[in-house]
Amino acid sequence: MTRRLMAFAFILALFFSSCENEDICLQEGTPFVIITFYDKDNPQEKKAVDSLTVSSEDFGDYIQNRTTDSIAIPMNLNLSQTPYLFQSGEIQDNLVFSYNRESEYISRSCGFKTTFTEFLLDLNNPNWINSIEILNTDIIDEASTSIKIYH
Amino acid sequence: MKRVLPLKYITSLLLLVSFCGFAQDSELPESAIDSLRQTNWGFRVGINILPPLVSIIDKDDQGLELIADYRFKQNWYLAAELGRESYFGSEDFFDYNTKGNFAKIGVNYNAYNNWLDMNNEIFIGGRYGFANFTQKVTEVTYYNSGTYFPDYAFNPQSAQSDRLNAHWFEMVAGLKVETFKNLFLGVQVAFSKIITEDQPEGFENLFVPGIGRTSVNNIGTRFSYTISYLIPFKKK
Repeated sequence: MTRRLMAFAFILALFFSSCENEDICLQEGTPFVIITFYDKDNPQEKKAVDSLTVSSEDFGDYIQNRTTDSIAIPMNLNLSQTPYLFQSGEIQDNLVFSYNRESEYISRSCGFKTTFTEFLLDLNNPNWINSIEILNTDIIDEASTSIKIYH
Repeated sequence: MKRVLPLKYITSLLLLVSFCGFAQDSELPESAIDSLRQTNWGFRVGINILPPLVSIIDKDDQGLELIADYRFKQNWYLAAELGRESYFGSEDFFDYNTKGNFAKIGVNYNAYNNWLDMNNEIFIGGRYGFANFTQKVTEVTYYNSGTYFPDYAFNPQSAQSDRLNAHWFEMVAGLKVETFKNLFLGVQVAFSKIITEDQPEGFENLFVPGIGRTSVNNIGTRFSYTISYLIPFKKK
């Protein structure tokens, strides 16, 4: 009788030991910054950039030779600013994105993401870029364009 | 009497053959059978041996859980568990440590029909439980956008939440087997549902002492192996 109860206990143990929940992260993490390119002569119209290359020193090309009117680029979370080189054809422009980093809890499986406040963009001695406009200084998700670049 | 006693040592296979058949042969009066059915009643104390075993494998995790019950009716037991735990959890993107104390109180109902003076249990029961604890995030790797930049990992200094608490109800099921006189080995599984809890600001309770890891719906499953000793008060 005792042995039978023990066997039952053992089976019960096996059954419940496999109940650990292995959830996988499916939610959105730290947002990319969405940049849309507009026509400087016709500010309401989007205008694609010819053979755009976006790169950051030490990290190589993020976007290579693409003709597009909008991009999504990541920020370096280790620093409070991220310099990027935007190159259209042979012409280069240096952009420095600066921000405050805030951490926001998502869930057990995804952990924490970083959101950005006081988002700024510095453009020194512009070449192919005409001007920039920051639409959101608080970037918490990828729902909309945060920066407009006119060229 | 001597003809009947060896019966309880016969293996379970023989039990299946027929208990009734032997009983009819014995021609014992009812009162004699009743006295054979007497079992010890009293206060039973013990420990859950799972936390100490876990801490051998994983030295960071520490736990102690004392269990106790008191039989107040033929099939009913007042039951309680008391303990403390320190748990280091490791998720995909962060690590945390939860430590604190817990207590549970409730009843068990023994649904098992014992044979003669055996004192085993297959029980179901309910508990109310509460816990006081602290939770600390020990390391975070931010869930990054892509892999272009290196992951950002850091050691948060301020992410400690003191004085958290949780209250819950739980359903238990399990069994206890008297292996030696008055010494019981048991297994128990508990399903807990948190009713109210203090959550840390901008974070959540991921582990509750007494419940274990909690799921999205505030449900926890906990398994225990127990050794307990019955201090007999009376025979009934």
